[in-house]
Amino acid sequence: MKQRARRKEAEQRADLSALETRLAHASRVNAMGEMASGMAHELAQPLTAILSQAQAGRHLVRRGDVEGLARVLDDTVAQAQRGADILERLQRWSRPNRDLAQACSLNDAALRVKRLLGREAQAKGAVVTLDLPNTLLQVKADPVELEQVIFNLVRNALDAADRARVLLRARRVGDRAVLEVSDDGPGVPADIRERVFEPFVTGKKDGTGLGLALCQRLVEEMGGDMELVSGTAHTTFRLSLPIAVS
Amino acid sequence: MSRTVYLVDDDETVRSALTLLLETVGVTVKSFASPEAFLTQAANLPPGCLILDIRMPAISGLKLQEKLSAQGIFWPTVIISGHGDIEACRRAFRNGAIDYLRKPVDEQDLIDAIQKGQAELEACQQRAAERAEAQALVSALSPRESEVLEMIAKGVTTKQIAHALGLSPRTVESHRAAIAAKAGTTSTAELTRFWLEAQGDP
Repeated sequence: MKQRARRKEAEQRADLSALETRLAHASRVNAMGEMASGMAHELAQPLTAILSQAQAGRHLVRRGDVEGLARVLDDTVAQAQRGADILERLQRWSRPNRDLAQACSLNDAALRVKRLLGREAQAKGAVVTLDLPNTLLQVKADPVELEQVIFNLVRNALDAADRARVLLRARRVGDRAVLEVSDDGPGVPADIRERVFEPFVTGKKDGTGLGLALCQRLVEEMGGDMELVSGTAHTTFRLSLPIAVS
Repeated sequence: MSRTVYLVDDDETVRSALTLLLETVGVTVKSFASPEAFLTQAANLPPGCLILDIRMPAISGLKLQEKLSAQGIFWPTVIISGHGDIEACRRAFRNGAIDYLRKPVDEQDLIDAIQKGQAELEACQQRAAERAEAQALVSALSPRESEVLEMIAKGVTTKQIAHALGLSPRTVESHRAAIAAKAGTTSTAELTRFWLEAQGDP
């Protein structure tokens, strides 16, 4: 009797794990399908612009309208660049660079991002405030990638609203360095909150939906995690990274 | 290609590049950044061929097609899409699209589709004008003349009309002459066409 129960339990466990494997596979296939469809759409936009501009350019050449053609060519170059940027982001997404990890300062990264986005913040009438601890917070990461992650979060915060108030707050919690980026914008739309880190999910009008997906992937590679904090008045993304042991 | 083409695409560069291309070949384009912007203005715009991107936030091109139909706007529509989704394609055609083009859209395919749409629009307006003319004629007839015309259109002879309406054949002839004067034709075939057109779709 006991033996039969055990056997049954083992069978159920096997069934369950087979189901999990199938589910995991299905969700990977699904994610890839969505990725492919999203990528097709993203790349189709600049390609459409490039094709139309080139065909319009052909008409302009026949007419000898050199000035018009020059303007069209400038736009074409910009669109080709847009396509290249999408590809580059996808490539980084598929294989982040792990060789360049080193102990680097979270405070410094936050300061650099504030400086990098200073002009943009000013243009939008936004205020970026830093709330950093006096102690050094060292994390193990490629400094460029760390900066890229913070840059993405702050850029999103700036895009959330005109005259946004953005706060970057860093502190040590146990053996983790935690950085929160919050803004007083309208918040992440409810229908995408759950999926905000999935590729091609975006709340922005011209967003590619790759920024946060890439950030999360980079942060995972750094051994950290990232979340959209719920239940707060402000939109807050929390980044948590292991403190580097020197 | 004298009529305005309406382009709805949320991507600004796609919008301006397609507008540039079409204007270079002499097509007048009015573009809209969102389906909502187009919907609020559609009722006040002269009819034209529509080019709709399928994938836009909030309202997709397909949804826009359906909303326009609900407003009684049935302009020739070309759907453009970044990915060839068969289900979306089928739905677009079910909603009455005249063509479904993959992005990047080739110039010649787009121009062919627009020409087809404009020809359809011309034919449609021609039919509407003819119907309006026929309706104006029929409403100018007296009730009796109208009765007589209806019977002419059914192929009934003067004698039978006279009998059916309890009139003399001469009176029927004079009604017929009055109808012919108003219609500007004595041809039975033409008069029949006027009557049928004034009745609208069979």
